[in-house]
Amino acid sequence: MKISNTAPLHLSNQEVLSHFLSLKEDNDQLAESINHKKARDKAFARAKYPLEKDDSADQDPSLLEPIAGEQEKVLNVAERRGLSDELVWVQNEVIKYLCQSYNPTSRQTADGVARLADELQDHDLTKAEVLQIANLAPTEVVELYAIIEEPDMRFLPDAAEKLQEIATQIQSTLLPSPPDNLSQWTGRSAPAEGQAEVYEHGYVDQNEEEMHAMGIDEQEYIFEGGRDGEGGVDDEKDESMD
Amino acid sequence: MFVLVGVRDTVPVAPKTFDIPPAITIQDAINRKYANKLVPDKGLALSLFDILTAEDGKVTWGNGLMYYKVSFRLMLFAPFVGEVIVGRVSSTTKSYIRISLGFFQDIYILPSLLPPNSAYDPTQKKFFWVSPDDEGTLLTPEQLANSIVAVDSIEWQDVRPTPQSLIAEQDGDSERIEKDPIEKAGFKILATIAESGLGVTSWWSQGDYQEEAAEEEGEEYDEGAAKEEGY
Repeated sequence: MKISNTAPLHLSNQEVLSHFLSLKEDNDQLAESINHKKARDKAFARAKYPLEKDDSADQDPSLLEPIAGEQEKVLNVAERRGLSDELVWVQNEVIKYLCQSYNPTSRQTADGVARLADELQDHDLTKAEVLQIANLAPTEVVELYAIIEEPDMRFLPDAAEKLQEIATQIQSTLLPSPPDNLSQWTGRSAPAEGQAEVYEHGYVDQNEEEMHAMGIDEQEYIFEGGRDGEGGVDDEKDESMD
Repeated sequence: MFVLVGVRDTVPVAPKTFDIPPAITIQDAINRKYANKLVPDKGLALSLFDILTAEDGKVTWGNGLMYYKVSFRLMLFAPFVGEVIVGRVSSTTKSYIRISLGFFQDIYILPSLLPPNSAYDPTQKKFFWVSPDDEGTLLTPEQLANSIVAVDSIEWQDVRPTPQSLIAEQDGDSERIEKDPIEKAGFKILATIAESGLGVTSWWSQGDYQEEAAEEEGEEYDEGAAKEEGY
């Protein structure tokens, strides 16, 4: 693996967000196809080799219907391609982060960022400052003080006014609220955070009923034999072979 | 925060995917290899951005994989020193405040990088300091608070397992000490909230604040902190 020596190009948060959103669309379709194929294969296997404990109410007859050759091909391709878990995790976390309420990225558009970068060129700011302003979109003057170094010396005679001007320009490039397609990440960001934290702690104290139910579900895939996970004679105990 | 870096590498593609256009399979292979992995001294690789060139694949003996020499652009999370980042406070201990960005959780604020006159309260397990304006209100970064920090320095550490550590893991199971995440991190960002405009966002959103006076204090203090950091 060789990394290029040329200086890395910086990306704005908005560009990263749009890249991951389109990646997510592709990956979601891929995941859906893979899961669909798995469910179909399982249903066909069950139909061909029914088990004693199989409850016919659980099975979904629509999974057994034949599907068009084109669609079959799509499912087949998806299964062979596979989907990287790490990529999905990274994509979801980055989208979640960029759509947080404290990040203005969800309210930015590609045009808005380009316009902002153009307008900021007139103010004699360094490249790093322009990038940071584009990413953080500070609308308060005090936030700009953290980004711009020594404004009092660079913006004579009145630094505060100049910064207020910049802040107003920034405000004009932001949408008033995030677009609807992002609402699933922006809308419930605050409560979800709390829930996520609680879930992490709660996992250890999970009550026995839930764990039992989860245990049975997982074991269904592996131990097709006896009920409480006893398993048949040649059942795979090694989960990795799923 | 995010950069694109040019990379040249050889990636394998499995025979079961030979009928799928190589553009797609090479993309999958690169993402599988690089997603969420650290690239030493550069940053955290997130995903492939685009493929620039790819040579014809070659098959070698031993396995049926087709190897493509590819040159592509990789998207990395790589903040620069002095960059301002927004995150969430994820935990506090007496030696650091940990800030998390979801996909990256190793941003630490050391006590030396806190505003002047800050202290740790062991009963509440939090840091606190008095705000510089006349009201003298107690400021403390609460759990899950949104926090703006400036990158002070970036540290890289080789965390690949050594033969000694592997043997130790197998043998001394009972004696294993839980290592502090700040020790284990391969890519660590040390951040400061000592300047004006930094810290928990709700402290600044009120607006009328003695910016200039605090700005001077913040700058002077920061120089002192930078000297202390050089260990």
